[in-house]
Amino acid sequence: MNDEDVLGTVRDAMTGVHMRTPVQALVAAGRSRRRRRIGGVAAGAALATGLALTPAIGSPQVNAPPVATGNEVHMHLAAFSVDTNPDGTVTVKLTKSESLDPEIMQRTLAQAGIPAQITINKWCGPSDPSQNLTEDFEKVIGEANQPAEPPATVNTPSAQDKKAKLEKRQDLKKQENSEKPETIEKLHEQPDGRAMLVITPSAMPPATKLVIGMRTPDYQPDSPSSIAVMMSLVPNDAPLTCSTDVPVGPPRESSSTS
Amino acid sequence: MEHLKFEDFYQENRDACLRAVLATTGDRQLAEDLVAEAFTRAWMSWRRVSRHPAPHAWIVRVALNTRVTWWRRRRHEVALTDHETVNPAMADGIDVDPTLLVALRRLPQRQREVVALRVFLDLDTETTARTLGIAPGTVTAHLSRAVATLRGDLATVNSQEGER
Repeated sequence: MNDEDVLGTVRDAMTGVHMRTPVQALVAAGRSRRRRRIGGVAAGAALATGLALTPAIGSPQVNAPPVATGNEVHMHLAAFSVDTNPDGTVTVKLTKSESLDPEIMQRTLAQAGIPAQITINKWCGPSDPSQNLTEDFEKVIGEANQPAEPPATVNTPSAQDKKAKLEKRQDLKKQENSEKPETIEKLHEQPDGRAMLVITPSAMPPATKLVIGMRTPDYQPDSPSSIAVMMSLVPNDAPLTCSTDVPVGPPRESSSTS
Repeated sequence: MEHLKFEDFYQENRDACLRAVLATTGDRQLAEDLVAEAFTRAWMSWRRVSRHPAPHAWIVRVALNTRVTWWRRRRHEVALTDHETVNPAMADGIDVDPTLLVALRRLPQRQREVVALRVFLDLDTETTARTLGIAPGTVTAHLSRAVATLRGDLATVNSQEGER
């Protein structure tokens, strides 16, 4: 047997192998994922925690004015912290069950070089979907900034529940998978119960801002969506359309944390 | 229009991609699932994938990468069925020659991938090298070794059949 004979034998042995999956099934699966992605991450550029994490926001206000030193910002409050890092990124942490003043957080982020518009129980996005800067958003809040294995949940009552939640999140992640996977879950819950986000201000194009909508824990408790925070990157002058309905997202987990 | 082009692409390449992935994994059902997943991702990014110089190679690469992801995920979830240990001859092989799968399984992973891309996708050495991220000379070396091993295995099978 020469080389061609050998390879021909291999080829012939597989001639009976045929793909059984109809193309309609693939297209339907793709469409379903697209819909979920658009709903779950606000037209592809928004951010959802995917966790039943709802930092308490609103009165009473306990935040203090931020203190900035030069370009460095190290703001540590009960509700949130903002830290500039030596590599130019900014780490933002939100603490559950602590009230948050959106104006102070907005001002702190601005001092850290992050123009932002923060709303509470109101979610805004560009009226024109083309002004949703999805590609830039991915750079501003990139996967490289994220821990490789984010903790599954906190405040779960048992190891079994934790494992079940992890599997559920993995399933969600798998469903969201595409050539650009994991646009969801950029806000990671830390072992100390705080949600962490790493932002790269230098990746924000000029004259753009982050639009951040946050949900208080008691807001629309009957909503099946577990989304607590959503973000998008838009031009400063982009007209926004806002809604007080909790955005569609991953469902709440049965043993949801509070 | 875009949908029709994808459908044509799928109809023309699905079997070749499945055979290539099957040759690498040795598991008929797993190969079908992986290829379906890869085509679904291709549909979702069709504008980009359709411009790829070898979109069918993209499918196979994504399918094989997905396999690794699934395997890692399963490894963390339960200590269980490992697709690496599946007996290819028992793997739903009604439309596959089990002798060939056994012979392919004896090859190192990289040699199997080279054979799969060269034989079932009919890729040239350069494209195979790009798809696998290795040097063209390495592709040639892997193919040569794989063919030598397969020749020995297939000749043994043929002689055993001849004695019966």
